[in-house]
Amino acid sequence: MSDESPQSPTFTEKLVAYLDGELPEGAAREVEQALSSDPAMRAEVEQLNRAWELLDLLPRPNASREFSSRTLATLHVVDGTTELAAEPEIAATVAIENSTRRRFPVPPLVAWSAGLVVVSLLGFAVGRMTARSNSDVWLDDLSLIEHIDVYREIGDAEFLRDLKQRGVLDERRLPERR
Amino acid sequence: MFDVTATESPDVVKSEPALSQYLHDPDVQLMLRAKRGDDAAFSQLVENYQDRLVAVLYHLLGNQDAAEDLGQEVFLRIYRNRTKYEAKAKFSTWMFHIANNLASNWRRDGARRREAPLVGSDSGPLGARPQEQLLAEKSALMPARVMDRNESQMLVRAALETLNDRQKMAVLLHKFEQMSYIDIAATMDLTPQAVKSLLSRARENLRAYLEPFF
Repeated sequence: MSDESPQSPTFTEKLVAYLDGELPEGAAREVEQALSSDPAMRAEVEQLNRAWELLDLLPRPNASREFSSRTLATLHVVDGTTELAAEPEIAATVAIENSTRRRFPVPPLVAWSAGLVVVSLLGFAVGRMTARSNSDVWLDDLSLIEHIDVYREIGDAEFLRDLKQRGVLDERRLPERR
Repeated sequence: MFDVTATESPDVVKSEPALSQYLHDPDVQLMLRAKRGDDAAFSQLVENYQDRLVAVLYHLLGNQDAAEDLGQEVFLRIYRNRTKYEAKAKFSTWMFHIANNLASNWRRDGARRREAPLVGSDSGPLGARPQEQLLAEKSALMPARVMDRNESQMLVRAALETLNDRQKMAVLLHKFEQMSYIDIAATMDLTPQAVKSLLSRARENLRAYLEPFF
């Protein structure tokens, strides 16, 4: 210690290393001897130590609850096709591995949700294909609609049969369409 | 984009004993299982290290969201490169080595970025901001007064912000992770002597900032 002034960086390095327990046994003993005879050095060590201990006040925030599941889900996604575009060489390795390796299991909730969406989309598509539009129904009944006034006058089928038996219909013609 | 080579196991630990030493590390065993395709082992590693990783990144980046995003990126890098893993160091050393490289890139790319400040503090990468400066100035006028815990915490955060990025990383690894100089050297691609100097200057800076409040 005698060749180092108390203000030199080397001197401080030695004191800090001593506090950190990183000095070899011989050097540590030298520092202890110097400390025992030098109140100024003891004060310096004390201040370095107090500043260091104040760091215990720093918060140590934990990862959020979702961190783990989100990370593992990302790994699963990236392990697939996304990686191929980003980093070809690594992706190639992983792609080969994928054929033989067990993947992270898909969470049941995700699987069920995906299934529900697929079934809903299929149902919608089938409905669209089979359901007839309003205009189709109107076209089917076009001839009836065109003569609705006449049919209202006639009333019911029994009356029509009666007219036919009497031969009235043979003489009567339906009105021309306008 | 991040540097993929950042995931290579550090070689700094050349003075350390042979590889077999690290095989006793239970987390190295988990990583070796992950290398062989055991995803459950990898999940266990995420569980074991997520809080430790996020805590260090939080102070490096000054933002919880950024810390989680980068933490996720660290695990992603490890997983992608699991087949290349070799037990050259403790798992934690390798993981923080990757985290350090990614954080450096993040800060370099983030000069244009403006992130939200630390919760309850205005400290940023450029040092103490007005609220903390005000506190420091106010407290400097009456250093003997008793500060409450929040004030003390803000003050310590401000002190940490006075350190440069490398000093901060070394301090966090030493304080939070109780890493030895050799492990810090391996994590940060430095020599143990450089770590000794780095930590010495960091502790000197912390003392200079905090001394008026002792």
